[in-house]
Amino acid sequence: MLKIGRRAVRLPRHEYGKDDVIEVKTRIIHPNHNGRHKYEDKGYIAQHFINLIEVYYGDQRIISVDASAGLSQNPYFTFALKVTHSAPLRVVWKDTRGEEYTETVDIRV
Amino acid sequence: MIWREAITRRGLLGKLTALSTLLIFRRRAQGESEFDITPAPPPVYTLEERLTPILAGRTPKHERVTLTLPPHAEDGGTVPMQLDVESPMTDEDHVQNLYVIADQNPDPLVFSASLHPGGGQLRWKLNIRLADNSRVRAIAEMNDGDLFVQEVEVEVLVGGCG
Repeated sequence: MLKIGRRAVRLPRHEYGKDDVIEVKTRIIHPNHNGRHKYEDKGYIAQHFINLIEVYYGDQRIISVDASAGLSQNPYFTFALKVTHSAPLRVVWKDTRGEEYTETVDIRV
Repeated sequence: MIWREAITRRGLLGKLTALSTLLIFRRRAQGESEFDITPAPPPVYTLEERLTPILAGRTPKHERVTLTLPPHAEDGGTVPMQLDVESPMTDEDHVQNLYVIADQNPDPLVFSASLHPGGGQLRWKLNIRLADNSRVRAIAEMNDGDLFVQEVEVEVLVGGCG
């Protein structure tokens, strides 16, 4: 198992230009406990999952995903993005314990 | 003395095995995630409770949304999903909200998302959990209030919600 919060945002390796649509892949290591798994006779493993994923392109927030525990462990999220200008692409993950994880990559055209 | 011992194939293999086992277990021990225990699981929601506020009396059309899921999922814990919505994603015409609902999940609403124009084409890939054989719906709400939906049936071999 890897450490919780280890994360990556990947841009395509190939060349891309203005107005091209690229695929951005994001992933974070997180147990995403849904709170419904029994733990021996002691009770249930408490909820602990990523409940918000936000994507900012420059200053504009373009995507905001409010998730339940219905996303898999180590949530993976890939989206298409139309490249309109050079700007940082920032992905923010928040979990039910209030932890916040951020990763930024630069889009250059 | 140890360094005078002849290096044998058997000895070397044994030492390598011991070393790699040690390394693997150390890695495991470090990554062990700590978790809390609670007496009760979180509340269960019905499909109606989740669906009614989204539809708000409207009937979605079966157009523009393409939801791709495997017809048979071996592991309900990780079901790959692809979601496409036909939309130019301009200020005048874009998807404003996006919902994915798995009918049989303890909380059917997998996620609700809000979008802003500027992202371009809408194509998402995510892994979701399915508790049981289930219908999965993707609902897109456009900026003018139109609703579009696609529904897919998935057979799940091993449920992913405990």
